[in-house]
Amino acid sequence: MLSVYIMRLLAIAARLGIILVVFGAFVPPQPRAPLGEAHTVETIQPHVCVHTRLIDEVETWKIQKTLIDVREMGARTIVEFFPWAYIEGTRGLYDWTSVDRIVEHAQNQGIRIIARMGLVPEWARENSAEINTTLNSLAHTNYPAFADFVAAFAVRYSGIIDHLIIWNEPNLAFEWGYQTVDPAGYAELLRVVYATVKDASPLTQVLAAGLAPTLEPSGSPNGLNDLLYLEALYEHGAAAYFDALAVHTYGFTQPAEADPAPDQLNFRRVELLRAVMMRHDDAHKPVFITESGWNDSPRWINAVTPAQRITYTLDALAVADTWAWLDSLCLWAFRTPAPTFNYPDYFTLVNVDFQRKPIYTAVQAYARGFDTP
Amino acid sequence: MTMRRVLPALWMWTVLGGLLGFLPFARSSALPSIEQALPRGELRIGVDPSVAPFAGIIEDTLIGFDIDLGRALAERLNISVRFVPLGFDGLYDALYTDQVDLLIASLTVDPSRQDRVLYTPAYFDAGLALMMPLDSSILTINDIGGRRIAYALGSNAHSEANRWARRVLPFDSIRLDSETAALESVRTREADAVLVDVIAARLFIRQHPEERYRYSTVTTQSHVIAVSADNAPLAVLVTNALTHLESIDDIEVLRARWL
Repeated sequence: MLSVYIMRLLAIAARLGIILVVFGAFVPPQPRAPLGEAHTVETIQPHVCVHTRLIDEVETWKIQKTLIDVREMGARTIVEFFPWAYIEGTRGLYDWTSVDRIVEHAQNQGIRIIARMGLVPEWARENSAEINTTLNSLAHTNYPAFADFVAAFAVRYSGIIDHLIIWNEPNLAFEWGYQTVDPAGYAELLRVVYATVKDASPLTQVLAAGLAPTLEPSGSPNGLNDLLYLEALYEHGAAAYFDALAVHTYGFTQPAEADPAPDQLNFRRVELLRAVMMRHDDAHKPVFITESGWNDSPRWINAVTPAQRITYTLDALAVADTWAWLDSLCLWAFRTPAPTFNYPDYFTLVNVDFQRKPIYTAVQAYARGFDTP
Repeated sequence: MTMRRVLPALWMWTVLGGLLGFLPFARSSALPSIEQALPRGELRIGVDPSVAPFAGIIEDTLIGFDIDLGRALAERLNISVRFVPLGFDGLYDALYTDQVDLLIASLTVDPSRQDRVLYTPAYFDAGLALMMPLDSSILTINDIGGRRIAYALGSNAHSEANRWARRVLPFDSIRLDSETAALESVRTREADAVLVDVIAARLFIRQHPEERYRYSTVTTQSHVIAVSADNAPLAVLVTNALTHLESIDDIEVLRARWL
């Protein structure tokens, strides 16, 4: 009786096996992304850079394809976000798999990486069990834990990734965990991180975070004017704790050449931030524009037409080339893993499905010296 | 209208998803109380006032389709409403940190957030559409072979046209510098049809009532309302109110007011 039962089970298992084999034959194989011959970036404009969004990619071939497209565009440098929450989800246990994957493919394409560090794991957030916190809520008591993570990153990728941006747009409330923005707090964070990183990896360059271009007045619940925030950072002694300044400067609806003014948000606002640095005897430090560009959404009130976007972007790259104090101009954003179905999609140079937009072709012609399309 | 044909399908999918998500309430015919969903006695709605014609600020006053929809929902729920202007990047964090009760901000369903967010049925489809003169022989995408199709350079329509080039009969592309120029090309008969989003098509038709155009939706982009997953009672109430407003054509009135 038992043997009959076993025989039936075996017959069912055999049928299931056959079904799996037959259906498996119809499943297309996943594209592979083997590292091939090492490349170098061919460019005549080494300051051209793009901000990528690779860390959320599931499939390796998309990382590789993105980096090939970056190289072929003539961008020597990328800015990429490496979230602390992804890497040290459990305190003291680092999982570098996702970072390694990006680093090895960037190296293979001959592309330099500037790393942006941030995004707090749950264990390090402010009272996370009691209140709703965001991924940008870092408890003051955990500044040393963040510093330890950044230092571990610096050591692991020393000689490969030598520029680390500490945090993102801390002058916006939502980037500061939806708390009141706090230049003194960010200056303290820089101090703790800088000391730890330099102890561990002396050659690593620490970049103060790019501030959001905004005119929010002092006391606003949403954030603080970037010029005022940078001034406050210096007043709180932050100068000793960064080697270079990251800057976010967008053109919005104005051309690249539009004159800068404290009450205007435009591309050349970076010159006003640079003036703050000079007033505080920090002129020797380089500036990295780690986010910039124009948006050509037909719906967003701060956007321009696609043709204007191309013109303004090329003009901005040309203006930036004359600034001896500038290391790179990184356009936001090369491509995103998924669309937002909203105006941010109109910042990209390449679609989610890897279609190259006209802006890509225009920047490529500029960077590589091709005839203008 | 085209919206009327598209929305039932969207509603079927989203309501189905909603029923699964709200199973605890689906077992009971009674709706949760407004006091249970909004103990503060106020509906706080996060909006992004930078996306016309959905939300904008004119002389310190919020206006737009999303604003009117928020007011209509609050009225239906019999509760006062307060709008909280936010930047796009900060919308979801404001919801997660309980600064707002829901988001009405031209959002689409984001699958990666569905562990923390409940979405309502769609209230608008902002997908791409082919717009053509009413007397055109083009009825759908299947009729564009050999015809002149205009779209804005670098736009989503441009990307979609590139995809079509691989799978529909060859057509002549007219790439223009802006959406406005692309729409005008149909008016001047330089193009046989224009590929734009539904918003642009509706606004153009509205601005030129003396001329007669129609549009055929070719892709879907459903605008939905986002509610925190921690407040399922509110998601049920808002979904119920939205369904009611749609059934009595109030949302169509709002659509017609702004689009």
